[in-house]
Parts: sequence; structure tokens; C-alpha cells
Amino acid sequence: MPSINGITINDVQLSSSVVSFFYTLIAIIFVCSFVISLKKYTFLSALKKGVIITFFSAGIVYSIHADIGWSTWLINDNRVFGGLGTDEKLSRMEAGLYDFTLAVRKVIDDDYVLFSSDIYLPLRMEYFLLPHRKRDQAKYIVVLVDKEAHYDQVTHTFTRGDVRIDQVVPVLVFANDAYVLMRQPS
Amino acid sequence: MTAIALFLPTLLGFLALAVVLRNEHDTGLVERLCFSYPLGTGLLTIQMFVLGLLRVPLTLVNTSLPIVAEIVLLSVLIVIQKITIMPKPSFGFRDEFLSTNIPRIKKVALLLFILWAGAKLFSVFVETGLRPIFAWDAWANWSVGAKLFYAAKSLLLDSPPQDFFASGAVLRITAYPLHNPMMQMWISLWNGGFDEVLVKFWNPVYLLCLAGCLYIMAKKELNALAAMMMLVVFLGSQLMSYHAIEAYSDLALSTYLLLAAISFLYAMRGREAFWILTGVFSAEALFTKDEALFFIAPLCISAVIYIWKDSIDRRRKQYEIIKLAAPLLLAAPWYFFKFSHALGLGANHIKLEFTFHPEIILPALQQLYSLENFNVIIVFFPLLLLLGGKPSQEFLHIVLVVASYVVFFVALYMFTTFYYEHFSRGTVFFRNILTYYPVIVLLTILLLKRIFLAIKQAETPIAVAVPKKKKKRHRAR
Repeated sequence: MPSINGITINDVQLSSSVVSFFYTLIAIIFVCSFVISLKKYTFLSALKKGVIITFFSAGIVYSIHADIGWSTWLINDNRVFGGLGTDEKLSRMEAGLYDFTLAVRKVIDDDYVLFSSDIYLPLRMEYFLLPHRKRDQAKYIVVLVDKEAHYDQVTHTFTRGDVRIDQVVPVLVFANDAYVLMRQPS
Repeated sequence: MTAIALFLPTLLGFLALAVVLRNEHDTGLVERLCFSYPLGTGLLTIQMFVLGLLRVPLTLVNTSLPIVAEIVLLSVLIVIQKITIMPKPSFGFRDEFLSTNIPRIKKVALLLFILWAGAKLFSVFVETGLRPIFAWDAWANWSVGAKLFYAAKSLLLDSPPQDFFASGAVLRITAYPLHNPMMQMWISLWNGGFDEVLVKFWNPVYLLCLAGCLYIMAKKELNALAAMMMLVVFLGSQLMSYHAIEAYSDLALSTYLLLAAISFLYAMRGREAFWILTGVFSAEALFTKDEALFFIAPLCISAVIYIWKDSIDRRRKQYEIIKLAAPLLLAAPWYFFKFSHALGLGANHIKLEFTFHPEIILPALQQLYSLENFNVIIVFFPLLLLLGGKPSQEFLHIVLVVASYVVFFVALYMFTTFYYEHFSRGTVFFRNILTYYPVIVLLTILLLKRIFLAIKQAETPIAVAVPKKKKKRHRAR
């Protein structure tokens, strides 16, 4: 069973061996129940009885399998998140990203520009920083895992590709690739 | 506070239901409770949206006052009209366990299934409380709207164009209906802050209501043991419990579609008050997800055809159609707003580009029979359909609605580039099925009833004939 990871919300996949097992089980239950029912019922009624018995039996066995998987998730999640507050849970789930977000929230009081070369991280960060909004132009510059970004401490200049922002000072340095700059009034 | 936030709309729904079903004696307490929560939350979020449209600040007091006022008004009406508010509890377990006609093994099995289903439902609530919002659409779209509306205490309708209606933030889709963000906002208002765990707690209650409704339905149509087994099979469908712990809208939509279908079924069985509920749940479905339109439109057509064929009295026909159609106006403010602001249907980034991929039928069937996500119900459904014999009129009226809805999805995957790509990536297929899966379970229950009856009829003559044969043989010896 795959663990809950934010992707499997669309589909909880079964391995081909499990699928084969279920179809074999369905076939066996059906043949047995049909043959037994034939002793008491006409062909059509035995067929109906066989299908009903198979439906419920296979459904219950499937539920046992599904709920064992579910219990595994539950036990695992209880081990990982049990007894924690919401911020602690998020911190554990998103590792350094959420810790950085908490630190950023303390130093920014307005909208921000966000630079990152990742796809998931800036979106998640943008979500955590709401209601402050990401803009093209803003007082704060948040840099998160960006290969192209560079801040020159001597000239107080931030550059990223064609982008060049002068007169910025660091207000938070969380890590080498995670920091916040603020524009200085000109 | 989250409990109060969930209790208030349930109470509103319960009282509203008591008034609508005042002459109705066949709905028990449990069934009414399972109807009450979705009914109340739907009414709540539509009201919050209307308040937002009227530029009333969406504070706790402003959003709670109409609900409290409605609860008081309905209570007064119930007292004045002496409406029975507490029908008898309808689980029926007591009768089952006390009955001397039921073998002990069946009672033990029933008890085990009750414990199993109860433990599963409880565990869904526990898991909801363990995890913060984690799935992509939940945070990137649904919760973004909720957070921004909560922070602004408004729908941001007077903001600059780039921020209008919380547009442009993360991946928020402004065209999507607001039931989900409004529920998150409502819980946040009661908690005094947006909590990434607590804002999801409205969703597992939908699963609880779905389970209750399907159990009651199965118990009425089959028997208590078969109903409990059906419930365990239903709860063993992984995607149901998976969605119940997240802030997605698919489960809520599936609840509204099921309740609209059950109400339609009851209305077809002559319980006229349910025409109103068919309309109300349809409107609430329309305020939950865009695709609801493609279930509700065929449902309304099917209902109108039924009413037209069923009744000879022209005035009665008109009266029933009005009872069905008038509640649909609840969804009117949303559609008026949506189209007056050119928000369109579906995600903002969808470009309507046509294509033709008939080959998707084969992988779709393969996925359908892969046994993933939905236990064995979908695999057995066509077989039960064949064995069920000539379908009843009520069954046909519902199955055709589901068939139209399925055709709509297949057409999307087959004819539009956007959905074809999503189908190929495996991100839409099972989630779309989830929205009508409970209705499939309802139809399965109706089919099982027919097959159970057929088997019972086949048993009777043989049971009478056997002792006679034995008697003859004995004499011959």
C-alpha cells in the first residue's frame, strides 16, 4: 500500500498480484457457491445466489485488505503526527520549508517577491504566507532554493538572470539558499 | 469550537427537515440526522456567499446571526404547528438482537460488522485530526480562497482587478463554486484563526452521513445484516476514506448527488415532500462543484418526465414541478455572479481545444476493472444489472441520470485536449467516479433487492415440495 503523500489522493493503487488474487478469489467463490446452490435451486436462481454470495464475500475480503492498508497509514501517521500541534505537524510534514515560512512570517508585514527555481516549493510557500501576496514588485524579496539568485553583500544588490534590484538589505538569512531581503527607501 | 461550527448547520438542517417532512412518518431519526448536516451546511454556505455579495463583512456575528435567527424561527414554527421533531430511532439493531427468529450466528456477524464499520468511521475522524492539509488541490486551490476570504472578512469583490475574488493567489480557480472555501472559513471564524487541521473537519462528517444514508436505505430494501455488510464494503472503498480526511470537494459533491437521488427515489414512491428536497440538494450540489450541473440537469429532466407520465391531474403535475424547481433558485445567485463576471465553467486555465481519442475507452475499462479504489461494487454492477431482470421504473429514472453523467465524463476525456491529458496522467478518472460512486451503491442496493426477492420466490415452492416428496418415499418404503 502506498503511503499518503499528496499524490495518491487520486488513486490508491493495487499491485497486479493483489488484483490477480482478488479475481481468482472471486472465481473460486463463485464456482463453489454456484455448484452448491445448484443442488437446491434452478440454474438461473443458483446463478443469482452464486453471484450474491461472491459479491458479499469478495467485498468483505477486499475490505479486510483495504482496512489493513488504512490501519497501516493510521498507525504510521499517529507515530509521526500524534500529540503535535498544527505548526509542529506542518514542520514535520514540510521539513525546512515550513520552518523557513514561520521565520519569514515574523519579519515581513507586507507583500513580497518570491524567487525560486523549484516548482512545488514556491507555491507551497506562497500558500503558507497568505494573506500576504506574491507580487512582481514588492517591499520584500524572498529567495527560496534558487540556483540563479545572487545577493552581493558589498554592493547590496540582488541579481537573478536579467533581474537586478539595488539597495536591498537582508532581514532574514535562514540558510544559504533561503533568505529574505528588504528594499531600502531610495 | 469546531464542534459548534458543525453542530449549528446540522441543527438548522434538522429543523428545516422537520418542517418540510412534517407529514412524513417513514423517515427515522438517524436518516433525518444524515440528511440534516449536508442540508444545513449547504444552506449555510449559500447564505455566506449571498452576504458576501451584499458586501456584509463576513464576521462570526454576521454569518452566525442569520443561522441562529432561522433556527429560532423554525423552532417557533415547529411549536406553533405542533410538528413532531423527534421521529423514532431507525437503526433497528435492537429488534434484530432481541428477535428469536434470527440465528445466533447472524447476530454475532451483525455485531462484528457494526463494530467494524464504527471503528472505520471513527478512524477517519482520527486521521483527519492527525494530518494538516497535504493534497495539492486542497491547498493550492480550495484553501487559498478560504484563507484570503477569512483574512479579508469578505469575498474581495471590491479589490483591485488582480486580487478580485482572491484571483491570482497560488493556483486558485475563481470559477469553482464556494461551498468548500466557505465551510473552511466558517470553521475558522469559530476557531478565531485558520488552522490547517481543523478546517478539514467538515469533510469526514459527509462520509458519516453517506454511510448512514446508505445503511438506512439498504436496511429498508434488504435486511439489517445485508445492510451492514454493504456498509462495510462501501467503507472499504479506499478513495472514500482517503478523500474524507482532506479538504477536497469531491466527497461533499458525492453526498449531495446521493441525497438528491434518494430524495428523487422517495418522491417517485409517492412521498411528495421529497420533491422539495430533490431540488434543495440539487442546488447545494451546484454550489459545490461545477460538474454537478451535468448530473443535476439530467436528474431534473428525468424527474419532469416522471411527473408528466405519472400524474393525470395537470394541476398536480405543475405543483410537483414547482416543488422541484423552486429550490433550485438557491443556486441562482452563484450562477448569476459566475456568468456576470465571465468566470465560466471549470478551471480558469482550461483552454477549450478539441481532439478525438476514442482509444481511451480501453484504458478506462481496464482502470474500471482494476479493482482500485472502489472495492468490488463497480466490477459487479453490470452483472447484477443483468441478473436483476427487467428494471423498475424508479431504477431506470436514476440509472439514466448516472449514465448521462458518465457519458459526459467520457466525452470530456475523449474530445477535449485538457481532460485527455489529465486522463492519461491518471489524475481525474477515479476522482470523477467518486462523485457518483455512492449513487452506484444506491442502485446496487436496488438491484440486490430485486435479486433477493427472486431468490426468495425460487425458494418457496421447493421448500413446500420437499416434505411432500419425502412423505411419498417414506410411504413407498
